[in-house]
Amino acid sequence: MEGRPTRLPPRDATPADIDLSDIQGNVLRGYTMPAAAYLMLRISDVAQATTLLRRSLPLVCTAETWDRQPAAAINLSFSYAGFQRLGLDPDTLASFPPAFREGMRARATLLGDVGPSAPDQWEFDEPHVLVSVYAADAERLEETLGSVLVPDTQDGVELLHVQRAHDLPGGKDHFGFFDGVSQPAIQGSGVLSRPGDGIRQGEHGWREVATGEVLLGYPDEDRTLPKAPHAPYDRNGTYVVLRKLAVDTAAFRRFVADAGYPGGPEMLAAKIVGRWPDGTPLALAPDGPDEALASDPARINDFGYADDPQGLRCPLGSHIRRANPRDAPSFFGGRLSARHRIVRRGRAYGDPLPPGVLDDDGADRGLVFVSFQSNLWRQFETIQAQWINDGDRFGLGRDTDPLVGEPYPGATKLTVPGTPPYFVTSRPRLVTMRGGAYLFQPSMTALRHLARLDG
Amino acid sequence: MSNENGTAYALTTYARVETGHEDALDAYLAALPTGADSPFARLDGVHLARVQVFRKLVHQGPHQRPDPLRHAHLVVSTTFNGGLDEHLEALAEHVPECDEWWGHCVRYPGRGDRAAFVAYVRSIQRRTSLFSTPFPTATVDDVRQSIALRAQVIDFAAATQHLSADDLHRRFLETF
Repeated sequence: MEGRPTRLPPRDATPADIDLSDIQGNVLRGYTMPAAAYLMLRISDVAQATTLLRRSLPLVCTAETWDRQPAAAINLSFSYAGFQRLGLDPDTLASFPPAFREGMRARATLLGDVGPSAPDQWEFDEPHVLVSVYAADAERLEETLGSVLVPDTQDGVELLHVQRAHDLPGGKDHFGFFDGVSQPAIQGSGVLSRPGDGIRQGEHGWREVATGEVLLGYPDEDRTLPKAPHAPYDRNGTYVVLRKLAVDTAAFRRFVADAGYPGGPEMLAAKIVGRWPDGTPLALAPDGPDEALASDPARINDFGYADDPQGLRCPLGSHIRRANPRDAPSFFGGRLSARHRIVRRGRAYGDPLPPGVLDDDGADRGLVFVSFQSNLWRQFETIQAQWINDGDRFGLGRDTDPLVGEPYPGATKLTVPGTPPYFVTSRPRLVTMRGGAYLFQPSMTALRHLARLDG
Repeated sequence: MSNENGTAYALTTYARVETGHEDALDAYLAALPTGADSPFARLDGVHLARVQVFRKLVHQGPHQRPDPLRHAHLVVSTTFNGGLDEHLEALAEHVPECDEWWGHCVRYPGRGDRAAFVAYVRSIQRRTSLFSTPFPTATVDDVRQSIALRAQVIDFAAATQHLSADDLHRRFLETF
């Protein structure tokens, strides 16, 4: 099993300004462990489930710097229904924001989860608890899964769904593109940022994103504390978005091959994504991939859109430009984008479709999308509903994201700016939602409180 | 700033909600249809309309002085073509829902007495302090026609992008 390619190694450590021992690790650390699984649990017996939680706590990995990578790590998060089941008091429950209380199913129409992506098609109900398990290899993963859920014991939980995930060869996603290049650098988190990780500052500089954009209890980009639930959930916790997204690799390949784009299928694919398959950004290299650039951690993400207002290099509607518009004109030099950043920890699942195959083989493959943010509506939902699934913010009418957007009738066109521009129409559905949930990932202090270990 | 911008008018009203009616009013507004079924879709000249309950004002950070509200207020704002009197007459005539939302507010007289209705809305009107519109002289019909033309041009461009210059010219003249 392969991990991340060596040309983009993990970011180096630097002294932290926040209490890393109180923060669950996957918020601030990518772990770079190639095997993962997501256990979705429902609580059937609160007392027994609390015992299970106490037993699991020693396995929970914090954000503290490792001397040596552990063989496995777990992290725990809870849905609103899970908190209700665990008996949080009404005042504390009411202090959580509406999007979290309502849950992802109730917000499906807003998010564009309709038709084949609608909740009545999902594979699993809303879990009470999400256990994210990461391991150095498949064997360690299974060992850890076995230690969390011991067979034939009364753990007071029901396993709704288990989703295994793994890194694909070369760090690519199922569309064949090097993925996970861009992450917001979080102020004080103890991770040395790379150019492009944060927010554009001046012509060539970058600064880190305020801690409060991702973790509750710290000032955000507006220099105020993000609205938070009651203690002990008000500090060092974060909201989690979990989405299982099935990918139709064959449909993507046929679409770019049949579109008749003058630059050819590979360039059209790059125009759709905003990067070449090796990760080279179109903003820096619009004519073709640049191996030296894509292999340089200091350059692969060091770009903006201020000097490409018409999208002649990177189309206005391309996937990465929609998901993070950076300093694009009308985003106020990046200040607007800065309020809509998310930490992504998604992982692929399923085996890749062999190269060159244009017919779907029926295998289940896709992405387990996971993101962390301090405000579900302002961050994830705004990106998903207004930037991915609408084109208005970019002057593109109703057109949705050509890679992951919902193909609403009349919204399946991609405009590739140029002289003349090129229009690609009738984009098929490339991504289908298979299930998801909004969760809250508490601090270690709050986890101990939930486990009745805080006295 | 003014309530008028080009040929468009921005009506902004704040009505104090009767104490204890806040939840019922919120529930009523949440159930109102939007889009083509919106009550305001019955009025030809309305660009946009918003009806919402303000229970408290947003505090946008330490630079802003906190401004608590003693009572919840119903905020109704509309942007439309034409004059205010005609708009209020049209509201009274075609939007019976007014009686539901303003019926939760103090001193609302109902629509039966048109003069009293118009006087009430004028009494709760506030001067619009920031009125920005991208098309200050376009009517709703103008905007709709422009959107339809935009769609037609895009469809034409997509359908003809492989044609030669001569064929493109001929098709353009045929289409437009």
